[in-house]
Amino acid sequence: MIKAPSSSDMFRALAFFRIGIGSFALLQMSFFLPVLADFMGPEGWIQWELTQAMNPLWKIHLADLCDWFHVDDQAKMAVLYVFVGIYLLSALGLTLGRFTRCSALMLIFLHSVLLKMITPFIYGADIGLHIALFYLVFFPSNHCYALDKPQCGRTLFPSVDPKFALRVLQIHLCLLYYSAGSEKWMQVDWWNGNAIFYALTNPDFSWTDFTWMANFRALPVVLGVFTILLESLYTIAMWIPYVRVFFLVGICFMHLGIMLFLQLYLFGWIMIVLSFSAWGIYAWNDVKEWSAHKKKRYVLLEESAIVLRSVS
Amino acid sequence: MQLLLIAYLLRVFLAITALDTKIPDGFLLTTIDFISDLNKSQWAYGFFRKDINKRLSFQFGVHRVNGTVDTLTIERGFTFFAPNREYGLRFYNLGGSFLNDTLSQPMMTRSIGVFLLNKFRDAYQVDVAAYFESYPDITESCDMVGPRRQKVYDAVVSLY
Repeated sequence: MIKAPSSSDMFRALAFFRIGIGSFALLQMSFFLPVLADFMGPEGWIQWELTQAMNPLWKIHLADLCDWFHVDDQAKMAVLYVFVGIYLLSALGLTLGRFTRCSALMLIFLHSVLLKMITPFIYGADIGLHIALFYLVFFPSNHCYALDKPQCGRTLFPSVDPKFALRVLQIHLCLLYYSAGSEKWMQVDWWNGNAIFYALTNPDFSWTDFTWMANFRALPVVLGVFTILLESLYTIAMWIPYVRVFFLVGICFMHLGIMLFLQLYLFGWIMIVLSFSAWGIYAWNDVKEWSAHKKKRYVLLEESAIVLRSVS
Repeated sequence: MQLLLIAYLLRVFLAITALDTKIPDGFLLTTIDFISDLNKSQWAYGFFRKDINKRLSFQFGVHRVNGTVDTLTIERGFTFFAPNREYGLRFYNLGGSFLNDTLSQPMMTRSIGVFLLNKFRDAYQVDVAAYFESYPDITESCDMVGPRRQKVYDAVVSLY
């Protein structure tokens, strides 16, 4: 029987989650910095008026804030820099665990504004970050590796139990991979290797010529089937002790592959952080249990050899 | 708090199973849409589930006052405009948004054109063309079939 992880282990897992997500937010924004005006500026690729109009009224755009405070056109870039500064500070606060949940709350608000500003450019990593930030508002992620001191019960609002927090994250990931896996299961392109071939030869993702893969057809087929099985069985396999170790390693390798071969670095990172935070501590427990069991068997064998020797 | 997170997971479940499409229009649906838009629980996870072999590529013709015309593409744009991969990658999504949102196509084209005119101070006109491209599968690739390309949109953004 495998022991469930202790509360302190769970707090550590949640701290890993916080640090992973906070540093992700910092890094993602730092990638934007050299092209801030092109990307998010009022006269960028897609101008503010347009991104403002593309979204429902309830979503706040930086242009709305400028309108409310009567900021003139020349000062809009300055407002953008202030916005980015607060964003980076909140991300730093979250990473270091200072005013953790306030930082998470602030960051999720700023991220909503950011998503509205870059609506046509959004992709999976942005959504992953938003979901993770939503969880960090409620999760007790500042009990370990954080600058926050215990506040004598003073909190913004009560956080949830660490076990419950990890369960929510685990179930979310199971739903996520079930969705991704089942969709792929029903598509022929994923079974005959075409999907892998398309992804690797798509000029938006490929960094070198992968058309040679057409001559080694078995390779994309194996990679495609591996992906389907990994994603569709994730939901079940992750609840089975020992088996989940292989699936966790497999899913990390899959996302590392996506990072390296499709150059989706941030997307790969956030998916690995999510999976590791949710299951890492459980998988590590399995490994510890397995090695202890192996050691015990070895000792038993040694003892029985001594007994046999003494009898003979 | 626990109830809120359970409700959140329920919303995720409704989204991935597409059961949320069965909810009739009205106050309930609007409320659910509003809340799920705030926390992105309505997101249907795909990871390259379809149309991986298709993309929308842009081509920009920058007319300069000295009479030359520079042709920039998204591929060249990655190295030309983008200092890092993360930025370049987002053009893929721009293509997707452009293709899906036919209503904003003229405005998006205009916005891109104006951006390029601001970037190239000696330019007086920018031609923006969007091409829908599909790439060959493994069998076609062995037969040396090239990508198929079809112009889906073009516009001219001029200073004068």
